[in-house]
Amino acid sequence: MRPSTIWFTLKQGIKNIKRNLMFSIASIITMAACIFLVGIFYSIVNNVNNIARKVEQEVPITVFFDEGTTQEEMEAVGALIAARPEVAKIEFESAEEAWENFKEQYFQGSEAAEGFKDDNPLVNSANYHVYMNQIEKQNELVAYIQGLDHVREINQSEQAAKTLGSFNKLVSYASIAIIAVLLLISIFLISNTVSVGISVRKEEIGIMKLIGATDGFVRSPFVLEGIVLGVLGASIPLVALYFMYNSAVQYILSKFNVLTGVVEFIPVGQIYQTLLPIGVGLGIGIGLIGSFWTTKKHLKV
Amino acid sequence: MIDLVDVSKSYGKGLPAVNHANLHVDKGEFVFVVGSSGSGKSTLIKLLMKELDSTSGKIMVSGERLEGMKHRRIAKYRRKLGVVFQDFRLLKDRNVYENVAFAQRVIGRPTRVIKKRVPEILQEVGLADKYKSYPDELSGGEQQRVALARALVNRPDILLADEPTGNLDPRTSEEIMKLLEEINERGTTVLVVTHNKEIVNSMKKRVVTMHEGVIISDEKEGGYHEA
Repeated sequence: MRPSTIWFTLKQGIKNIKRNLMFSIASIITMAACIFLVGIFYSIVNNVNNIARKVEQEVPITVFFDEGTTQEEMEAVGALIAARPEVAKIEFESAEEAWENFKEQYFQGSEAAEGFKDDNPLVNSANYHVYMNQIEKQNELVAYIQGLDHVREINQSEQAAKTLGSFNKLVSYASIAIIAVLLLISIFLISNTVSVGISVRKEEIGIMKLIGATDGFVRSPFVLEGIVLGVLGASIPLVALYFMYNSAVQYILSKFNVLTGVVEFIPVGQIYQTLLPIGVGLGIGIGLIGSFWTTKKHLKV
Repeated sequence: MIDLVDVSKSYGKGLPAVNHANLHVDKGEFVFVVGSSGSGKSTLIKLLMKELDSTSGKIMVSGERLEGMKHRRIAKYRRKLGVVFQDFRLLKDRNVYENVAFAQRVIGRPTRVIKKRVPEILQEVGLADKYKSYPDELSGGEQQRVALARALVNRPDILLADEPTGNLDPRTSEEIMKLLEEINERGTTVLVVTHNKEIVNSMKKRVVTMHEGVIISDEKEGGYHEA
């Protein structure tokens, strides 16, 4: 295509949008809503996944011992665990340390804890914190440790990760359903906008055909119209989400103080590495499908 | 240039609109196709423009066989033709220059060619000073000149005119016909469908007469005969 032809096509496409401005705006808003939701759900799902992964990695497996297990016996078990390749590091916590940590966490300097001064309620709570480097082998490791002598109980983080995982699944399914409906509505609205454009320009199209315009030449302004609508429909929510993301994170952290330090949100830049191409691709895709399909149907040239 | 061999075109069950037509037009000829309403002359022009497909027979135009022509090829084929209509079919929201330039843009001519060629053709049809006017500001004759300029701007081999003077007064009709004659003298083959008796009789050109889809006469320097 010559530059002058491209310019001509571009002008025609923009003219089409201006001619049925209301339809064009409706298409842009619907598509913006669709891509906005995609963005929100994408951010939620990714952050929840990220948290789940962190929980799995950072919350250790805790190994407790039978009553009366000696320090040497515990160390021997510790050495066996540490020798496993999927284990990153182990940390020993004596019964006294366990009680000190517990006091700090739950009594926070209150005198109530003093009542237990000479009678450690966690006397049998000496334990090993086991941190893993291959989280997928957690169940295998737990089974191994359970088979070792003197091991009474193992607490693993699997439950928390599993709960987050199911929550994520729920969010994913709900978002896929909503997005699919919005996608269809967007395609329908774009198709409608392009149809109106075609009927308004029926005479011009007839003349074009008689003069010897190719199918591509007749169709391209309409397809371009769809793409422009798509890009506009994608840009608005992508820009809005970019600025809203950090505010949302700040808001959540300020509302739920308990999360600070525990939960780490993915930086917006990292989210946008994937969300930007997805959003723009969706916009262009919806525009392209909606307009191409309509021109194919209505422009028998 | 144009060859119709035993061409028929039927719409449904009734009489064919064109019935076993045979016609040969040489390069550079000027031919009138005449006949009353429903005689099949407009169908004939639509067949030549490949707006319709024949039911049977063979049509060759400018070396191309129209039956079985691939859809993709039709646009290229139509560039060999220039077409004008009774109702001019100009774009009302564009001025004279843009209406003519449109025909060049559609076939992908570069802007520098368009800028040179459009004023040339407007000069030829006598509208050089009206290039900024919009169709509604022009008389019927002037609008038909714009349509002619648009049809000729791409230098077609053949000019097809479907009732070009149907909406014009006798004096303007005569001017348009004179213009068509000049175009023909420059080498373009011209085929005019009309029922303007005076003009046909005065111009002494080849006249093909149709009646109920059949070509009933074909005369050199002929006249208009009622069937």
